[in-house]
Amino acid sequence: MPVPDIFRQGMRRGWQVYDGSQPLPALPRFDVIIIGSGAGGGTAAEILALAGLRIAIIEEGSLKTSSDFHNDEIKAYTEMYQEGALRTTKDGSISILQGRTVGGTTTVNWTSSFRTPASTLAVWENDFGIDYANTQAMTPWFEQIEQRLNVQRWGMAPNANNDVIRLGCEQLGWGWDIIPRNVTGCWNLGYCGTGCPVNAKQSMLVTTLPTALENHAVLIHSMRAEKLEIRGDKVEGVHVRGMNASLTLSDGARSLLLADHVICAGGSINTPALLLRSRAPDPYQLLGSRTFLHPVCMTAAQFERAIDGFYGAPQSVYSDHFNETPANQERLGYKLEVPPMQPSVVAALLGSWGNENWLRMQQLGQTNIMLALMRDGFLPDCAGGQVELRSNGDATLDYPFHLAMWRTVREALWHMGQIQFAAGATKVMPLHTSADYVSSPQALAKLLDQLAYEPLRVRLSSAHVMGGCRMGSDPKNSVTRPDGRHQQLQNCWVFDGSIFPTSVGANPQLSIYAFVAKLATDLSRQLA
Amino acid sequence: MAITRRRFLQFGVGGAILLTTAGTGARWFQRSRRQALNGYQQLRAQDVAFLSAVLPLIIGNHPQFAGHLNTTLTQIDRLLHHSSPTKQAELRDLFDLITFKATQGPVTGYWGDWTTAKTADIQQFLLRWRDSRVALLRFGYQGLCQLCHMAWYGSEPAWAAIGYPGPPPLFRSHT
Ligand SMILES: Cc1cc2nc3c(=O)[nH]c(=O)nc-3n(C[C@H](O)[C@H](O)[C@H](O)COP(=O)(O)OP(=O)(O)OC[C@H]3O[C@@H](n4cnc5c(N)ncnc54)[C@H](O)[C@@H]3O)c2cc1C
Ligand code: SF4
Repeated sequence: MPVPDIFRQGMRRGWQVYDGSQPLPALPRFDVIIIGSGAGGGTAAEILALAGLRIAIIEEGSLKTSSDFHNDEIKAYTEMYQEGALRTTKDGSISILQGRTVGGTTTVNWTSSFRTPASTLAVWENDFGIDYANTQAMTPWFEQIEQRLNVQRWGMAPNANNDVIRLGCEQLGWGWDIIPRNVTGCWNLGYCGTGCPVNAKQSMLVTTLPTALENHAVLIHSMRAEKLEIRGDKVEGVHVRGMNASLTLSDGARSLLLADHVICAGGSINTPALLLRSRAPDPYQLLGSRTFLHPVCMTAAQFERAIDGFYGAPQSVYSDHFNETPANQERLGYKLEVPPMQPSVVAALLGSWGNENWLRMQQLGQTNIMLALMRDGFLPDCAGGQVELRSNGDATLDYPFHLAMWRTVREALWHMGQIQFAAGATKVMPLHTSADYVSSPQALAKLLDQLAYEPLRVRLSSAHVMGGCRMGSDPKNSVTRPDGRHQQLQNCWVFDGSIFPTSVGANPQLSIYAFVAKLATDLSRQLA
Repeated sequence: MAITRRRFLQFGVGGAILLTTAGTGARWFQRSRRQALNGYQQLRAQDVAFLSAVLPLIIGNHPQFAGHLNTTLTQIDRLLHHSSPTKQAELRDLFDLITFKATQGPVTGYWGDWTTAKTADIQQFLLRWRDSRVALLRFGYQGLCQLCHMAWYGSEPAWAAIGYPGPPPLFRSHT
């Protein structure tokens, strides 16, 4: 073990951490139960525990800590991701990555830390009546979190995979910049997606959750909140049930945990699903609607030089050159970044089969992949997806693609290819089932003319799920109020990425931390 | 994407006829062959037979693959075992469609026994699904290939030949 496992050390000191798949001790009534231990749940837990409130955190994922992290992709996907990393939208066309472990998605995310773009805040303030959604009111909260999680512009040289963005954009005269990251003493390993083995990533697992546990919070992992017990306009408690060993379903012992207040922080898709299962009041049929994904399309490029994108900070350079929604609303805005290049996920992305796939994989060390995060939710017909329940109560997301999105895909593939060629790529390939590598921008343009832009042809994925319980001042057009409280339930709060009324337009973690820090602080003052 | 009757009907007449003729039989068939094969948590005998036939072709000429068919099958099983009841059912339905006699021929274009299928037969099947107008079949194509590729390239024996040195030894699992 190269570094001390601070979480296990804390447990040896007496933190109250229980495995929900095992028999539980008798538990008291809590002031607040927080469902979910990710970005929102972790942030809220620290603030409320420090305010002296008696809290319990319920997490359906299991407890994995630094000594369990071996940079093994399959191990991480199966143990720490929702649906073992095989989650997709209902029609299978968009892969969805979300965390399912103590620390939530922050335990496996890539550490990019952006403030909410001003243009996004403006929409939330003007169209949804969230009066503090502006730079002036939010800056102190961004600053507080940046300090808490040590967010800083990445100081080391970007790895060659990220440097493709810098080089290409410089050649083309397009804007680019260095990504701020929430790390302390980062070893520049590149395995953030499988859990940081040296506790450098300032995820909830090593920051807010430890503080909450030091301050007498109770954490129960491997335990799913199945339903809220609702009477009238109040939540009386949470029906929980232990998870099975593979974390695929809750079939263990049941109990009803009681609390004065309940905070839902299971993340988008899962929080709306919990409220749907609980038959929470939803007089205007809004619950689970406007769920956004930042849908991602990608291009791969081969170089004559080493790229080795499986090593080094996974994301350190980005371009916002196309990230504003254009005034004519012809397309969505999109942010350009790269993913880490570990072989299991890359093999799946590069597609095809047999020798074509094998030839592509042989070039892994010389291959760059670029991605465009589409800023969904800002055009009038861009209403995102709808969370639905399957017959067994599990959640799924119906997410239709509209015309402007396909137009955006095509344009983004073209611009990413241009950046890659400008950075010296010898070949570029849009990730599409009928595409192969082409050797010039001209050939790429021709290929993009020929391709069919349809689900399950263009390779699409998402690691940023947002919305579904949107905040707003108008109860007819929002699930939660601007203070995060459920519009109809007096003592139920939603503190996670599902409160956003559109996508963020930047990787969402810092937005979630900052909004939840503000809302949880307000709540703690109310309850103290 | 669950292969429900309603979905099939969306595919037009061909799909509808297919399901009405195959429906009852398939359900009976699923019930009778739903047990995971010894040594696996999810994969059933017919799944293992089918995957063993197509995996070498889906992976291609990777020099280390031949000795690691079982490693790859185990990894696929592991991915499925930790996914969700929904994903497990989707994949089971998909394998049923591919291996159940009444549906296999019409949907895959190959009517014979998968264990003796020729390279060309499997190529044809993959191409047919990749380029299909039916989204469900394209989903099947993507799901099948992705699962095979993730499983194999997530296994250490695959790495040397693609120039991936693996995670720094300090952090590897020593179990
Ligand atoms: C691979 C990857 C890389 C990413 N990289 C970045 C990045 O670099 N920068 C960035 O800003 N964002 C990144 N993100 C996204 C970001 O981490 C998430 O948007 C953010 O963590 C979401 O916060 P949340 O509080 O809404 O939910 P989460 O952090 O997902 O936490 C929700 C938790 O609740 C648990 N849960 C859900 N339902 C229940 C229930 N019913 N009972 C009990 N527990 C439940 C879940 O298991 C989960 O652990 C990345 C995401 C992924 C998948
Ligand atoms: S890149 Fe840094 S933060 Fe990410 S896993 Fe490696 S050491 Fe941890």
